[in-house]
Amino acid sequence: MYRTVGQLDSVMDILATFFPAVCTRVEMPNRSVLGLPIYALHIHAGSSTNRRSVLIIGGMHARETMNPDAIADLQLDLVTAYLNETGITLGGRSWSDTEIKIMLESLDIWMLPCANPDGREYVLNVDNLWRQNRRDNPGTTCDGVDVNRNCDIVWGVTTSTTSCNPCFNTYLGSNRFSEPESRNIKDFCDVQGIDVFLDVHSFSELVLFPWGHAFTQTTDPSQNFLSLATGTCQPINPPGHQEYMLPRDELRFERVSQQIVDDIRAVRGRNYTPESIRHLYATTGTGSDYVYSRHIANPALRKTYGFSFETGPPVFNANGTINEPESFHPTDPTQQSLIKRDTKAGIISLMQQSICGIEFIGATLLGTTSGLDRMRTIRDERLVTTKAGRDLVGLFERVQFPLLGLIVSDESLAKEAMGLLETSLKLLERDETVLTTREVKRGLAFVDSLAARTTSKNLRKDLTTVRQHLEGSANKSVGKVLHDLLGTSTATKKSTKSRRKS
Amino acid sequence: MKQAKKQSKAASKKSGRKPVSSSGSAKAPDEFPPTVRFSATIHAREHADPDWIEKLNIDRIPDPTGVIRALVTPNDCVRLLNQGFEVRLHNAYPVQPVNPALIETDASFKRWLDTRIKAIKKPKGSKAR
Repeated sequence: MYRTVGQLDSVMDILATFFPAVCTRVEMPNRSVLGLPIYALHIHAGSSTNRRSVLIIGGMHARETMNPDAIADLQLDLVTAYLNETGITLGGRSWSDTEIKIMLESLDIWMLPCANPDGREYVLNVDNLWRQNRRDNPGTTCDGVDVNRNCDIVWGVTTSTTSCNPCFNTYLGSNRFSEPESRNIKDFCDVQGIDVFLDVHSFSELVLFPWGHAFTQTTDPSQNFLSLATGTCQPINPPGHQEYMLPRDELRFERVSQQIVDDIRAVRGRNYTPESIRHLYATTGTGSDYVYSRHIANPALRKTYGFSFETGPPVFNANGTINEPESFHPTDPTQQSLIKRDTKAGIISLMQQSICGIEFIGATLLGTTSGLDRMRTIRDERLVTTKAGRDLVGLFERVQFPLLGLIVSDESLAKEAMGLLETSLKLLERDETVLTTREVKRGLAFVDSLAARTTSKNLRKDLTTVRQHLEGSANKSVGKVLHDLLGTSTATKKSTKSRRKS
Repeated sequence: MKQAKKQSKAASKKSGRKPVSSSGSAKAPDEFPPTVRFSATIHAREHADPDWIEKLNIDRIPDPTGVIRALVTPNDCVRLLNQGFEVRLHNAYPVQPVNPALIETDASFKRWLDTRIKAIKKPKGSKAR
């Protein structure tokens, strides 16, 4: 069943009214073209400050009716799981109560289920395939702007799916951010500072990341969107432009997307595909590209990782062609429910990966995050430069959340993690510092304690890899250990291979 | 169905346009809004520009087989044909609202939300229900 805009708002209103310690309903800076207020729910349990922020939006394209409902359901699921200490289970994928607690107490989660309320009302009452907002385009008899082509990223450059004609379904608007529904993304990022952004669309079972206007390359920083002419109403110039992305960011997008795909598959076996938006088709002015471009256009702004989903599969007619209405809004309640479950799993997966385990231990347990910049520099400027180093970064990102769950729920482990983090931060200050046998033994004992507490075979394998690297580190300088890590890929490769098989 | 027509009229009144009949009749192809859309695939004729896809300006639908699929209006069909493309129509969809039977009524929504909210343990300091 599909809910009206008023009903979606009621979910947030009731949650904020009855559980003010956990959620607040906020009105977005701009009302819709027809004057409707646009609401988001801010979920923020616990008392920690300086959190990472995640913004999840749905319903930008009006006819994709399932996603606002899935986001509203997830709002209720998260609050219920947190306050009842029950965790969340979606088919074959579960998140424990501790994992939900960590998410809600360490993130600022903003969920905007219906970004284009005028469009949704029009779809429910008049035209079930309407895509845009309800802008009355001046000087024409035509209505509607595609709000996901209206953002300030290569705006005004046409593609197969972006048009300057106000009578076309993919009309990009009279100017960049001419539409309040898309301007909300900009204004919200300006005010709140968002670290991770997700725009939920339908359909095709995809997890998408930048870039959308061009294929990505990681070798030539001079080829970037800042040098492209915009507002031309012509295809991209030069033709064949490839957009630069930092290798570290590309790796992050790929790894996070792959984990989302894995988590969705665990629910009931659906195989989503991770890829850059351009692999689907060329787009300009999209929300997820825009948020990621902000820190490049203005280095003073926070980096925001932008993702989008295309939820649900295409539904085929008997003649083998796609049935679009059925694909956008399935009539079978069971099918609706299954797709919403996949969607919710993907969103939780992204939220989970928005947490940095080390930052969490530093901020929540040690009360400081000083020194973490040095760790980030080593990761971003040294480890990602080789295959072995990238494998290690991937391993860390893979294990950090399950390990965090173990650490937070065990006082002795938490105490030891704090001590080890302090020691590590001191060691990493200088490349010349030598690791003592005692320090290495302490690290090995901690790894063994973690391995003894987990039932996950994959996690044990990854911890074995960490152990192998650590074992040979005694009496070596930090610089030498890092050098070895950059060149030693055998153990990591073996571990990855085993994991894929299992 | 009566409810759907009522809602359709209300929304059309809001948008300042005449209600759209679900039969999809009575509108000339050059008028907006359209009364029908088609599921179509678009094909280049011989000697097409290598960047022909980028010039389509269409409401593309991802197609797992790799063909260029889109939802098109009669206007789009005329335009694409005039641009020299071949347009194959596969299904016709009259403009109509989502089936009202698929839209949650306020009464059932309230029951559902009440059940969900009652199942949540109230933390200290929250308002009693």
